[in-house]
Amino acid sequence: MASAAPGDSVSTTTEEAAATAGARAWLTTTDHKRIAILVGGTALVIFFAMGILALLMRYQLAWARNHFLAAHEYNEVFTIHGSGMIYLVVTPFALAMGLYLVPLQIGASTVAAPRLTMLGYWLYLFGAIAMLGGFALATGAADTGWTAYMPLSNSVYSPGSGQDVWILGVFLSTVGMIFIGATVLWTVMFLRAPGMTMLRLPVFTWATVATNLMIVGAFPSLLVALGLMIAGRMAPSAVIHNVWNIGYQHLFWFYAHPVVYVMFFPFVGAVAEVLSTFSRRPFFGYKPTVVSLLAFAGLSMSVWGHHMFTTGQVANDYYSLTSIALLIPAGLEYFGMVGTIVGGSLVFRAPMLFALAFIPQFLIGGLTGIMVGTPVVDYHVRGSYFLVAHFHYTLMAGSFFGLFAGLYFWFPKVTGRLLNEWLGRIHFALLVVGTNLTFLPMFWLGQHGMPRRVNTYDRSDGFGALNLVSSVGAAIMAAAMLVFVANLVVTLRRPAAAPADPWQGTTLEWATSSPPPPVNFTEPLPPITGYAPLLDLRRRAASERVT
Amino acid sequence: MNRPGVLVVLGWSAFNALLLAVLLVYTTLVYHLEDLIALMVYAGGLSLIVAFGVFGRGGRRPEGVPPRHHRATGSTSAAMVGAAAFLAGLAAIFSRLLALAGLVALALALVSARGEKAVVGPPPRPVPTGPEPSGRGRSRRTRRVIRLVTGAALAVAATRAIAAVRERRRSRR
Repeated sequence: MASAAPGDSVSTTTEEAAATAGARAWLTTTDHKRIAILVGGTALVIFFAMGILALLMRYQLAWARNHFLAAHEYNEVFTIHGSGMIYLVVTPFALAMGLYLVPLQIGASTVAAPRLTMLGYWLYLFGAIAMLGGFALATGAADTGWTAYMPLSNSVYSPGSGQDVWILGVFLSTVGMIFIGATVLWTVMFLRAPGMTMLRLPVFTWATVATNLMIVGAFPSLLVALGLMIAGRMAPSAVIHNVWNIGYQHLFWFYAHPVVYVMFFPFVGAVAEVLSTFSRRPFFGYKPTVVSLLAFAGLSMSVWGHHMFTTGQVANDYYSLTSIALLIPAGLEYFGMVGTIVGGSLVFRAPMLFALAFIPQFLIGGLTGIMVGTPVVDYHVRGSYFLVAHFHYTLMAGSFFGLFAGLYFWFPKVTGRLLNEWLGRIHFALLVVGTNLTFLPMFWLGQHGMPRRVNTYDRSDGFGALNLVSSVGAAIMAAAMLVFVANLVVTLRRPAAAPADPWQGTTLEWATSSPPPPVNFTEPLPPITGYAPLLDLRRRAASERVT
Repeated sequence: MNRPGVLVVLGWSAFNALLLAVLLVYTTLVYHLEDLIALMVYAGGLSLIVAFGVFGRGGRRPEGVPPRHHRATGSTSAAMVGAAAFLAGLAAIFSRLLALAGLVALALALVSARGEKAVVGPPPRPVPTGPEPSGRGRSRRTRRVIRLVTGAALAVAATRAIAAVRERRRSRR
């Protein structure tokens, strides 16, 4: 059934396309969609580079006493893999999705302060160059982990410029993310189309609002932490007292716990939109979900101390209480997602498959998060592979499945081309198998005492079989990514022929052409009667036909 | 129409203030002065969100004033500012000479910003509006009754839960 949305006939004219083509037009753009594509595209390229680093690590750990990477090389590889994935891949991609979609979903023609948003991209790009450029230095890249705890990261224990360029890279990219997050939040606050009240915002937009609130509140603390680290490197003897080290950890984790939700919420929003569209019904429990997203984000600002249980210098009871309280909003969101698909007319296209896999896989990451948010369990598994398994289930098995659900779903909107369905299914199948094969054994490895951040282990440790299984899983994940790249190449070589609304979408971005014109909408929007205006429109049209 | 957006930001800040107050109770009653760092960090982050909300409240459009559509014509200045920041950072690490290149980039940013005057005009299209999605098909009175019944049910459930906990404690003693 074709969409009844009035924007179907709109398309970018040839003159407009000619005027906005070329590298210069892209690099000096003020169009939020192009800025988002630049951010998201850069993040995807870096994602593949970080994936190669992950494969190097898994190759190193596949066998006991493997000498493929020396200890210092391994330290650099896991540091840049972790830092790159968090600072340069998942966070930017999550924000890029919001930057592209939020103005479209709220009926705005642009983002607030587009030049500031573009400055955010440049800072992110230069930050990425600085961080990855560390490998080109004679002293090597940073090797203190993505947390870069003090005093390990001071100039006594980490001499050389690798740590310095890492600081520069993290600083620039974080400032860039703050700019992008703040402008998108401002856009929702002030640039909504007439009729688009807050309780008509789509779930994805609400997820982005919650994300950006955390960015504004939490990200600046990382900048202060980096300032402290610079002081520690300039005057290591002055910044050696315990209070500085604990202060750094507080500042760092006040950023680093909410950033996990920044890397997760937009994908929850994407999954919500995908589930709703491919179940052919509005999202179940809209208002409770909105409240739970905001409560989830609020609580996430108060749980950072659970990363510091073992320091013995935080109020364990409080952080444990707030961490466990996260179960309530998380449960509500899950209830909404499951409620949407129960009783719906399900259509199993590639985006829906990724969205469905997201639900149980993220649950594993979430529930083990509650486990490590409990001091008695945390004391046992601290610094072990159990934690590695937990956060990879959250970010890879959770967020990345949401990312791919969103990517397959909105790809035709962004490019005007539908990704190949069968390659998408192969990508999905390989990724499900690879992800679980890679990260599930890590729970047992951690439980049996394998510490994280070690470059090798002894045969007598008994870690060999599970590590080999994990490395085979990583190889399968790599194969899945190759299929995805092949899909991108095959699809982008085809002419743009996707209709404005190939999925029977429910939100306003499907009411304009694919890809949308520079001002987003060239025809009047459909009546905004709820958080799924196009679904309302179709239902009204159907009931009118019946009467 | 802009007020609800600001209210969401300020309401979210209030929720965080509540959580901060709980942390304050925990730290002052049980723990040491070193927890002051945690309180300061949380209060700092919270003040940033409040500032964002208050800034938004000041910047909102007065009632009756039609929205204006601002659009910059280019963003070369943004690229130059980004390059200047990058070069300044590299200068601090490697060579002070790079700071000069950063200054050049900053000057270029200023020059190019002058050529990127924002185009100001009305927003693209006014759009028709519809009724609120919530409570469609139900009268205001019905909604009020539903709220009352839900509230009463929650109150009964909470009272019973508290009574059960008390009973359990008594039986333990």
